Amino acid sequence: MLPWILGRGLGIAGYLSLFGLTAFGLWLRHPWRIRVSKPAPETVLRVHAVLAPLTLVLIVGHVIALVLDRYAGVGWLGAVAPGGSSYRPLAVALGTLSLYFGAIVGATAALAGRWGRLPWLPVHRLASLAFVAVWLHGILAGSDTKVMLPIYIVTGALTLAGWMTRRLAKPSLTPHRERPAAADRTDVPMLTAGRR
Amino acid sequence: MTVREQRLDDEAPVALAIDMIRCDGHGICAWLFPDRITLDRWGFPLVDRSPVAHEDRNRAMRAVRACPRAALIANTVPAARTGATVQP
Repeated sequence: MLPWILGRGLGIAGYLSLFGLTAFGLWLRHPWRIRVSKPAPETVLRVHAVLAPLTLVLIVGHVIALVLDRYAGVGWLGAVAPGGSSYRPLAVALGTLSLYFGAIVGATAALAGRWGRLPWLPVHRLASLAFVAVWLHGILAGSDTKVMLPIYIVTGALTLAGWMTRRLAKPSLTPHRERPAAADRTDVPMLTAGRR
Repeated sequence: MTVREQRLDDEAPVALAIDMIRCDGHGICAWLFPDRITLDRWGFPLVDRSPVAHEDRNRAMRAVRACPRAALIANTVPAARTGATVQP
């Protein structure tokens, strides 16, 4: 019973951490961020970066706990190979795929700039797909989904709203008027040689 | 010499600059090199334009390479500005 409780708890904690990670990531470049000064962009960036390894640890713990649970019907094969689980193969496969997507997204961001111009940003957009897969995994794989459903609905709706408004919203002009032109800023060196 | 894609001399002292037209405010430069790059309240970088210390050069170049819009630029600095002596 303990591995199942541990696996379920770590899974929920991992999902909430992933929600925070996604929300802070969306807010980093959201057009509406210029309307509010708090939290500061550097804080948002740091929280986003710190939540990434936390989410990974929680999710890996979730997988290990459920693999070790003899009654869960997942096993090592089900955990690593999509469709290899005897318990709800599709739902577990979504979780496995989302872990792979998340690992690729996290690894490319962590290695950005280390070896040449690694195109981490296009890969980072897979994070949306990973979140959708995790959301579906949570709803379809959880044996207590009815209890958790309000959490999934609220977090899913908030993430969808954040994603859509980030794509569709236009930034408010008022804060931009306050923003000094780059040419007037002593703290931002203008490009000189690059456009010769 | 300004560098976006081409390789810099490994030993050449550099100073950072930002192309504000290209910059999209992703902020990864400030994450990778917070000693010299901070973010303003809109999430755009504020870059310290003084020459980068030799021991920080690799971190600066990593931030340059990591910028997805290639907006962070490393300019080589003439030896006279860094105070380094030039061997004949």
